Amino acid sequence: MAELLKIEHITKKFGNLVANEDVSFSVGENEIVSLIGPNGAGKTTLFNSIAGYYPPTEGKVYFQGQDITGKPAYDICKMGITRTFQVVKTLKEMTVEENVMTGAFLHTGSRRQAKKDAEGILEMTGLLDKRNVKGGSLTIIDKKRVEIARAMATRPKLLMLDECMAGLNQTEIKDVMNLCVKLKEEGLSLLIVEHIMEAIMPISDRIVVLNAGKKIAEGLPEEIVNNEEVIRAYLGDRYNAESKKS
Amino acid sequence: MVEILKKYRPALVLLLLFILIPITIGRTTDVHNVIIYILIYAMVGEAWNLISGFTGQTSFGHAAYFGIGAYTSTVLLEYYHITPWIGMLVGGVIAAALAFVVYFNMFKLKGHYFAIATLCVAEIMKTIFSKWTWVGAGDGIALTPITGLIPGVGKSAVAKLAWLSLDVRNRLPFLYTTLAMFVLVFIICAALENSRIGFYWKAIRESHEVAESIGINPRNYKLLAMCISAFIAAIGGTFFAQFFKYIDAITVFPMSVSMIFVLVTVLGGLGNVYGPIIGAVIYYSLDLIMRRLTGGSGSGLDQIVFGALIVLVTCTEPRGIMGIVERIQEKLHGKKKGGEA
Ligand SMILES: Nc1ncnc2c1ncn2[C@@H]1O[C@H](COP(=O)(O)OP(=O)(O)O)[C@@H](O)[C@H]1O
Ligand SMILES: [Mg+2]
Repeated sequence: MAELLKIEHITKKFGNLVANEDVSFSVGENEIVSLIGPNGAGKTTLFNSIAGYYPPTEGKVYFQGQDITGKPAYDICKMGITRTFQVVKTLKEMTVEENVMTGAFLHTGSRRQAKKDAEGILEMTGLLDKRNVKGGSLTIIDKKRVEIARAMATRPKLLMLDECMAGLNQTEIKDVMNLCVKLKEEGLSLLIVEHIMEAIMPISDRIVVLNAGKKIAEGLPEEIVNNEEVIRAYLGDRYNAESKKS
Repeated sequence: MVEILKKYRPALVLLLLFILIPITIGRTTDVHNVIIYILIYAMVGEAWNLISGFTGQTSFGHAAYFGIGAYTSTVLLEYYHITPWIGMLVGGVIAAALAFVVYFNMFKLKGHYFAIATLCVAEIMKTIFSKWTWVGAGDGIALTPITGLIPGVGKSAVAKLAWLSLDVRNRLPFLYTTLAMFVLVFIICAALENSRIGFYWKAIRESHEVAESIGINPRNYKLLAMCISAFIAAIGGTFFAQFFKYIDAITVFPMSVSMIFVLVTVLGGLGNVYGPIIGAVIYYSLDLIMRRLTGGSGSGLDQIVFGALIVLVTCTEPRGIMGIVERIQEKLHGKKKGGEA
């Protein structure tokens, strides 16, 4: 499988705090890789380093073989990486459709074309009936949908989703899972940060586990759930508890 | 096309009023003056709205561009006998160039710091122009009547019309010329709002992070907004100079002038193309009514009433009068349509 994204020895420090330490992994073309780990493990920080929100303190980020370390976020997006935000950032004064159109404008200067592109994505994300609602007055679930839809509209090669399922109910999680699979079928690669194991296990091709800034494991989903260190650091109570519940 | 006309129906109604009032119920010089003021300040308000309303970068110094427009066309006309039609374009280019140079790096500043920087730019302009002898220093420049300035100007009918329409002593033609320019500015601003540029501006206003995440370079788009805004503000300045027939630094560069653009837009509706014109109409109608009530003297009563109105409107609806109108419309619409949405 051809490598799409490759990060090498990423370290990110905030003053004395080491948020990421020597993290390396890659995402192949048409692959879903999930990044898991307890709160504060450094997942969002890693997203920010990859997507260009700040440069990593050390290490390199390659996309399609090209060194993109430290490039600004808007350039990285143009190259084909789009991320969503863990704390949703809906454009409040704009309607749902306008939110998505803003993303679609990356590939067209025509308003009509952007509207058309947005329409398809709104349908795929189940937002079509709310297209004229202002972003600010949406429920959290719809805000998350808009977040994904807007990112999809930029037609990325790699879509990075930061905890977009947190706070959703079972059906809604199922919707997002289906969406991820559909996107993969369309040829995208996904890098997903998620806590909900039931949701990511079935759809992930590979899983990377972070703990306290370090990568402690990487492998197929079934390898990860049986990994001693992962269970100790993270899955232990959580996965057992949640699988009992469901 | 039909769709666009339908969408901007209120604009067409407004336009009709602006065409009809000066030749029907408002056939006095007093009313004509007020309408010209409204149009000039609304024009610059539209300009200010691009950078501050749509793009969210508050400028307290648009008098800088307004003044440059006024001075450029006036200097070209008085010293070189170049028509203000060309003068306004030159002024626009100079203003845009100044905006580009000044803000190329200044957009790193955020929020209040940016606002203060814009204010300083206007104050610097004011100081320079009040000391610069070539442009009259403290005395300013009084405009010579065009016919007296260039004897041969009336030769061809077209040239005559072009000149005269920007000579305020032909008040009604001047009014309609200003109206035409305002309409052009309004159309440009509305078109920008509906284009990719407008979408990007709004995205930047709401979140730099989101903007960057979908491939927008905020700096470039803010710079674009500032340059277009400065260009239009300068054109407003030319109209002001032609109207006032006299300019000096204290008249065109002070903070009070910058604030007029801010206030009319905020009152009418920040980030709404109708905002500046609605705000300007209210501001100057109020001014006219108050002057009539108090018998012509500038009693300051209008300022008090206007101040109170601003406070009242912005406290209840940050999107100004247009925001209130939209809210009412949404309510009516919601009732009419019921569960259709
Ligand atoms: N901008 C920042 N400045 C200082 N510390 C930060 C910053 N961003 C994140 N951190 C710290 O880095 C660590 C990792 O955070 P984060 O990447 O958000 O974790 P996760 O997304 O895995 O929950 C946390 O201890 C957090 O407090
Ligand atoms: Mg996080």
